[in-house]
Amino acid sequence: MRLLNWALLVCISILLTACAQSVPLQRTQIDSLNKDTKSSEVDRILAGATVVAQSEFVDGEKAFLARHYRLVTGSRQEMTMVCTPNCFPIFITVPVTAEYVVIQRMPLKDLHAWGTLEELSKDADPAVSSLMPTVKQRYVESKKKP
Amino acid sequence: MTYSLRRVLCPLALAVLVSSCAGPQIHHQQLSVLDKGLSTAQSISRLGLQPLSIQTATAGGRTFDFHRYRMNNGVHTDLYLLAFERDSLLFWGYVSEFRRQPDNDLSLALTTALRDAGATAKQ
Repeated sequence: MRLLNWALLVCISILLTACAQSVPLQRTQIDSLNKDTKSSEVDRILAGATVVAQSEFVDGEKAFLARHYRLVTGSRQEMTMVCTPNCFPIFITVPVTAEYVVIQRMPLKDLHAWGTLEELSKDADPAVSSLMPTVKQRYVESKKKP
Repeated sequence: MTYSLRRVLCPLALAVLVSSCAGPQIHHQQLSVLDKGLSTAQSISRLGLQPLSIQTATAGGRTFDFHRYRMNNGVHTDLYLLAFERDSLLFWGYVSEFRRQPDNDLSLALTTALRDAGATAKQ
């Protein structure tokens, strides 16, 4: 039984390590983005956050690069009961994230749009919202790839 | 009815009651399936849910259809609307998001639709 409890602890540790490998974006990072932010500055701001998917596509005569991230929008607490043999709860704070995308015009990588998939899909600027069906389709395709 | 049986049945009845009051709801992660220009049928199909009601309102000579949903944010539900113009999805969001978007006709039409919905609810 004691072995089982240790195995459980090891499993939790492995799970937490796996989570740590994918670093989500923070609001403080995207607060620094502006329409005229240079590409090198964009890369510097987003550095450290994990790109979960990226795709290049052409819309009309313009080429774009879409980079997908997970944005931290909040957190929730999860509780696990560990018994060795006395039972005690272990609380883990798990981030709640939303799918976030940064779109740049190629080849100069000028910042075109940034936001959650939902925000950009209903953006007032048709030059942004019209790209989103393609962005989302590419994103779904990239998630299907092994 | 024995005490222990009552202890099981009462929370169960309460849970059924609460869930039936809540009605069909959408969740935030469903919103990424929506795109501008979708027809009403496509929107309903993508969300996998019929609207709770539909209100039509006019402003600036334009006619809008508002599909009412409840958005579950994990704690409670809020009113969430999809706005269509000529069977084409124009905008979607909470009421506050409609107020912030730049199309003034749409915002005015929403005010009318909400007022009409309130009047219908009172009848």
